[in-house]
Amino acid sequence: MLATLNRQLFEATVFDSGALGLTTSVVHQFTVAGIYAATVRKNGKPMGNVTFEVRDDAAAMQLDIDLAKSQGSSGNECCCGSHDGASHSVSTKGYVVFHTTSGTGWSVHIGEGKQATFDSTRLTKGDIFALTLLEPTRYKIENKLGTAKGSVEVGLTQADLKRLSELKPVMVTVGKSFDPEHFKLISTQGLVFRVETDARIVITRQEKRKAEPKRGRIRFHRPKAAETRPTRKAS
Amino acid sequence: MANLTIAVSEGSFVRLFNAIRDNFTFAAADSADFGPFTASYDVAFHLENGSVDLRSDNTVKVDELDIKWDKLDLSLGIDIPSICIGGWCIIPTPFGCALRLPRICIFDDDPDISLTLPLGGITSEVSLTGRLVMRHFVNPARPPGMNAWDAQDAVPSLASEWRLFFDDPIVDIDPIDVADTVGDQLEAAVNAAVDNLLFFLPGWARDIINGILGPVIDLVRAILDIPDDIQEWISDLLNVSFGLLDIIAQFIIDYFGDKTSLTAIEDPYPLLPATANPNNFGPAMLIPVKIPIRKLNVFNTDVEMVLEADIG
Repeated sequence: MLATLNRQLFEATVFDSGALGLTTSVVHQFTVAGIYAATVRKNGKPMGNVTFEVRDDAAAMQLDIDLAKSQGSSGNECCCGSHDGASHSVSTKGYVVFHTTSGTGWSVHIGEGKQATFDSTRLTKGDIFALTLLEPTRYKIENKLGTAKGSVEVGLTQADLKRLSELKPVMVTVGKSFDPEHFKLISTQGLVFRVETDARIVITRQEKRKAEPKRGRIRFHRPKAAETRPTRKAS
Repeated sequence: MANLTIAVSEGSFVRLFNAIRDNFTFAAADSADFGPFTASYDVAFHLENGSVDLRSDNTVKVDELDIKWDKLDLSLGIDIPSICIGGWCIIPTPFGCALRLPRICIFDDDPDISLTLPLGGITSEVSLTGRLVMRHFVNPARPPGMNAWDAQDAVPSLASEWRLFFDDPIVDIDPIDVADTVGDQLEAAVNAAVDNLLFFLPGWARDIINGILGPVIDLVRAILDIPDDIQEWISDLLNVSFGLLDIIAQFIIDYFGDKTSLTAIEDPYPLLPATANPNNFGPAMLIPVKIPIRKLNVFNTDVEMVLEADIG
């Protein structure tokens, strides 16, 4: 099968909790039972709706919602899959994970303004922002709704390559400052921000990309004219 | 008792054999799906050398006939498993993971790699044993009413022939035994195929994917279920799974036993050619003298091949 490479994974340079992309997710706990209708936006423009149910007696402890699949949907048909893949409801003790499988700039809104039940561009205490940084380089971290600043250096050595599957995510608490403020990661290692105060976390690549060395050109030839004589049988 | 007996020396017989050996070519290609992978071969060879021995038990043995592989390409198509990142547990509990983040896959599906192993440059051997036989051949293009003389005069000739073949020969063939460097060849081909798959990515991204995949050759060996001995596995794939050995053996049997005659004798046999009439009367040309061969047997001793014909 010809598989297509997910190029966006390797091209992202900004990771924003309020504008989700491929390697970022926002997690929220809905503790009040009910049916929630969420508006999905991309770069601020409404793209569709998703509906899910939160119940006290729901078995599922996790519901994953792929925002990219909400495009054009009214919300009646659900576009999401739960952690167990069985239903579109989740327990009041569980978590809803908003993520995307394509594109960038996604946000989700349930209610508006101060009445909002949840607004992914303004995370509140208890929310989680998780992401994966792939490119080995230095990034700055900011809370756009506060004053916290920090940095992370992503590395990848030959020794690291052998233990990628063993890496555990790094936890950062988001309060008045980031804790820790400056830290190191290995490429593909998870980075999880636990939000303690209102936050929109933006991580930006600090250094410009170095040009990749040229790997030569691919030469194309005009195909040879087909022979007119009949082909000979192989055997 | 035979009307006519012709003996051919062993040396002359060897020359007859060498002529058809040198015209022998084989080419075949096929592919098959083996579940976790697909494989195909594209092969071609010709024959060289061989010692021809006329034996006293009325058989001929051709030994150490070399199969010279002009092409022996084996191609493998393999699905590399999904290459994904993420999926880590961020809220572990004693009862399992309460919150696990989604996995992100680098490809939208299992990517394929395809690699070709040029295994040529080796020589296999085949031997051939059988009795000789003369078979009568009537040209299928000859109209039912046409007599043998008119058939010979037709252009192109539609003459009948007696043809000399090996009678249902027994073929012993060496299994295709690929070189012991095939393991290195496979590893190089796998690495090249993965590089080709990822060639447009920046170096760090390729490093990550290679890091996730681990040593790709180990992964490919696991997918292909290759035991320690890659050489034997590939030989088995060609010899047994594809049955290439059977195909080659059957082709050789057909070639020497049915398709290509060692020699052919026209029937009726032209004893004297057409000549100018030396007399002062009659036609300018005398017609050729031809004798129909009713029966033609062949046998051999350890020094010569003998043809015995009943004519008339």
